[in-house]
Amino acid sequence: MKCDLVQRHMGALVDGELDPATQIEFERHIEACADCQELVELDRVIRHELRARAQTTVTPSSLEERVRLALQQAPAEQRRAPIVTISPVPLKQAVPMVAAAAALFMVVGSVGVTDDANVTSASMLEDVVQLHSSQLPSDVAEPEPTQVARYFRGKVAFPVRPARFDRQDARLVGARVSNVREERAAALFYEVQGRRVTVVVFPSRAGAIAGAPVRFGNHDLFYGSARGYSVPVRHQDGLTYAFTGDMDRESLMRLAASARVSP
Amino acid sequence: MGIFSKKNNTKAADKARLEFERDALPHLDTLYGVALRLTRAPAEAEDLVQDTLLKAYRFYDRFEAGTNLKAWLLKIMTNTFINRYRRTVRERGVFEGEMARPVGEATMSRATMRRLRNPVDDMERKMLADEIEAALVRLPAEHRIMIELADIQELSYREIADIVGCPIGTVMSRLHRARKTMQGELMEQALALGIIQPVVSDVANAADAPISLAEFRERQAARSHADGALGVAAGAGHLVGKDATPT
Repeated sequence: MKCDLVQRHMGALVDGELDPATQIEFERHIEACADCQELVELDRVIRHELRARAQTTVTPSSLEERVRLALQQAPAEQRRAPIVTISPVPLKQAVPMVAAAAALFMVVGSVGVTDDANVTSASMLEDVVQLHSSQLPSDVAEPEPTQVARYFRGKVAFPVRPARFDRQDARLVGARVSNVREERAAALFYEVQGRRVTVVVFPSRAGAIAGAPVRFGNHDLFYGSARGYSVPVRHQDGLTYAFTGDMDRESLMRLAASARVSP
Repeated sequence: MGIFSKKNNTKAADKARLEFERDALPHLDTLYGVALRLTRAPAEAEDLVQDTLLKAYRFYDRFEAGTNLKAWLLKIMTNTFINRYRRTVRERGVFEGEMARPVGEATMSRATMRRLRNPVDDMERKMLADEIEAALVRLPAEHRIMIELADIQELSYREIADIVGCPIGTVMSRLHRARKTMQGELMEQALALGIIQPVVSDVANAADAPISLAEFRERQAARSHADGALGVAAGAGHLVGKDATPT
């Protein structure tokens, strides 16, 4: 057996994370190999020092008071409100609007929603835009829709069907698991007309857009924005599909309306 | 504040809050320590702790009683950190830069390793401990999180995978990379500090044993260090001049 192989798994060995058979085999090698023994020891010392040093960290005495105060000031009703009570306006009841462009103005800053809903919606949008703008690498080697769907299995609590756009110049280029508010979310990265577009899918309870939807094409779209990015949003089967990208609002709205998200 | 006008809610809210404080605040020191090592700045660490606890409070009804509260809080903290703090330009630069750097394999001699774990006196012990901590701080965020959760918080790979949201295999490979990088940094610093020398046996072996570029650079650095205060320029020139040979 090669030292290289053992050393590559040295950490897992010390952590007791290898399967028993491998563990025994590797331990047998180490017993007979001075180099590997030395590395085990060095590894132990480094861990020990890290832990010892971590124990010397002194928490500022003011922090506990600060946290207690913040907790006290956190609106009590906020605690349960965002998840349970705020749901999107049922799509069927949405008033179809004739001119979508005119409707956009009415949606922004609409009346009749609580501050909580606005807070929830704002931080949801913020998370979506953050996911797009930070340009994180894809976790999927092959951006095939079926591969991507398989990648998400077991990682998010809902089936992910990458949105499809019926146009030649749109393609899926990557995906990764992320979070929107406290919910696991699937981030899908596309390239449309050479521009980056991100579609984030998550359970709708993570936050709905405050306001009424706009009829656009054949779909009801909610409209939000954060940090200068437009974020059209669609709801389907309890899931939220938030679209954002490096393109103007009109194009994004059209793109979101044209996306096929059902099987 | 407006909240106190709603008398009916106040009592129930107080009770819920006190319960939460009773359960969560014992973890304050842990949370602050992790936050400090993640953010590398005390003020940001305090903000991160506060954000984490506020979120945890808001979603406390989703915490499954009887499961590991510390792990749950760390999960919220890790996600908050990744989402809000890590993505500044500076941090991303470090992240990508470090990720791009290849990790050398088995570049330390047995003697070097033995020396590193056996400091001669308290002074040297402290220097080495400082360097170990510094090596952790210099790691890219994604790797720093791994070392923090595995080596300092001693969580299992399964718990870490759940916290970070990646497969167990990824935890294993990131940890390996992170530890390897730390060992390399530690050796580099120990050479620079003169704690370890480019030992004679190394030099003697050099002719037949293939060495990594990283090890070569370390030796060069150590040699220029040994030359004393000859100046950075002389040392650098020395290094550049020889650099082409082994590659």
